[in-house]
Amino acid sequence: MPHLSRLHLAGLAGIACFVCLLWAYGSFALASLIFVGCYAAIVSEKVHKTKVALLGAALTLVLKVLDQHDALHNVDLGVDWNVVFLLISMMIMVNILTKTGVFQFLAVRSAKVAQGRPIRIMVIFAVVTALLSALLDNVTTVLLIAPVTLLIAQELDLDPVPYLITEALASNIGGTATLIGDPPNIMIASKAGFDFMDFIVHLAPAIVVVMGAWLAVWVLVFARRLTVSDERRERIMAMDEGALITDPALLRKAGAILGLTILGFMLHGVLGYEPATVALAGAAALLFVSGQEPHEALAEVEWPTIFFFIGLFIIVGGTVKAGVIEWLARQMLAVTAPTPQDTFLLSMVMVWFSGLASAIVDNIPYVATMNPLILDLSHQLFGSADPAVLHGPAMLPVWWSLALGACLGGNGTAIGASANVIVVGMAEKAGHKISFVRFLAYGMPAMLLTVAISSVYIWLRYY
Amino acid sequence: MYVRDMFSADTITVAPDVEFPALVQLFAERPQRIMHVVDAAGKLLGVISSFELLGLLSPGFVDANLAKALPADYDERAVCRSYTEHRCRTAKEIMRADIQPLRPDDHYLRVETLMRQQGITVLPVVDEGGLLLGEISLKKVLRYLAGVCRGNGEHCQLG
Repeated sequence: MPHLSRLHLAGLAGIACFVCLLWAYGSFALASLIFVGCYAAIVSEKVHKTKVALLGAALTLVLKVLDQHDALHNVDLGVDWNVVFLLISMMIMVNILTKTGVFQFLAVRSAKVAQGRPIRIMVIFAVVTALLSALLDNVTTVLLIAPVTLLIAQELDLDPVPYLITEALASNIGGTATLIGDPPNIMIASKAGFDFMDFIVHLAPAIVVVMGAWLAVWVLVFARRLTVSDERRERIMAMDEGALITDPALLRKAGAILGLTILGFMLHGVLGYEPATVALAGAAALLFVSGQEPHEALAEVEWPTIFFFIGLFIIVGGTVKAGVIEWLARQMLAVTAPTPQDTFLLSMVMVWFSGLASAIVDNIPYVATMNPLILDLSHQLFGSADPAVLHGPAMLPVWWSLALGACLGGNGTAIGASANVIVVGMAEKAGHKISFVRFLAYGMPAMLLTVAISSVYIWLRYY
Repeated sequence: MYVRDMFSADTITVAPDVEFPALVQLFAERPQRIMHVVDAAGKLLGVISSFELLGLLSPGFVDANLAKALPADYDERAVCRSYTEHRCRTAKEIMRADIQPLRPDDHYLRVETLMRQQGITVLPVVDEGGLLLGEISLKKVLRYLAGVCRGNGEHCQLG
């Protein structure tokens, strides 16, 4: 008998387990293995997450855990095209708007409004970043603000790292306030049937409080550490932000279309349109008036992210169809023991678990998993997942707990959110390395503070 | 037609431990567009083009549009600051080590393909052991092809 190494034995044991599981549980075991394997691969960051998601989706379809018709056409199990087209359309709009130079203009103007005073710049940049992130995606916002931040810090002879981390945190906080601010919110809105104004009414007030409290703490911590001479401040005041607008005519047109699109988002529930329809109309109009060729505008869409979503929806659809999500929902019910009258513990577990999980795991796959789980919870608690139940007093705070926890949790670590990863990369490229621990020193207290405030908000407002 | 027919043996070679100021000086004085970083045996370790040096001398986070907002004295200050900041960096730290070189027996059409793929306008030419033999640019290829046309006036319908 040939000599078998431990690796061989482990491999054989794995295959044996796989066959046994398959024999005993069929598609349940397959869906679970694909799901856990993909999650582990995404967390390890050894392979690009889009490759992992597409491979997982291919396995889900090839092994017939989910059939292709369901994957592409079933709104409960398959790809959420509302999310996909909303993301693509917003990316097109932002890419065209970026070319006008308006974001650089806003950043330099903000520094001048702050009169070159370091702590004021930190606060104003955080507020501007949060506001932009509420309307655009977080990654784009930090990509646009960070270069100006590096320049301002260089001119003031200050360490840019506290500023850059503050902006990453602000973009994640600001993005939580609206339906279009952060991908988890887009996914939650689509699954639960919330409209733009639901987010404004329920999440924006929480974010105003969270942002205010966080910035107050930040001012206390940084005010004395950040000082500069008048001569340095003069350098900021000497900048000419007016020169940054490259195409005023396009800016006027793009600004008008963006304004109409945001109005469309506010009214989409009343008008009976999906958010993706509003965004698609805005993107098409902007593409038309900008004079940009479609291949140029479409080339800058982040296709790997789009295909990551598509793959992920199929993997999670497989787990729903195989009953994995239903099983997980039952476990969560057993732990939190909610009743149709009292879901407080469930909401608290949701906000804190989501916060901690999103600090470690990408919040997009996390929310893609939790969405069907909450629908299942609703089925098990109320025997239905109709909008009346999902938007009712018992389930509403559970959804908002998920949104707050998943979006704010990303602030915890350098890998918790895409904006954090981008900021760390840009800082390193500019010669300012941000270690995992240094980010943690800023991000974790901010995350714990904001999630704590969110849980108090949920408690006071809904229970 | 092959690379061996057209490459130039006139190159700038530097040792891996040469520091940034010397590299800038060398680049400013010589007409070549890349420097080859070689070990003591002459084996190619990497190349440094003007892109790498310009990248270190200018603040990478300022793009052409953002630069329009800056006061007149910014550029000089920024360049001096970058120069001071990077002065201890060595050729080994600056060079591009991922460049795929050409071999003398490569077909000349491969020159342009490799340049496009690697985003560089001059490529090193090495032997089988990786020893640097010379460099080739598109201009060198064009000059050679023009010579071929002149030498075959009848076929090329020249004159």
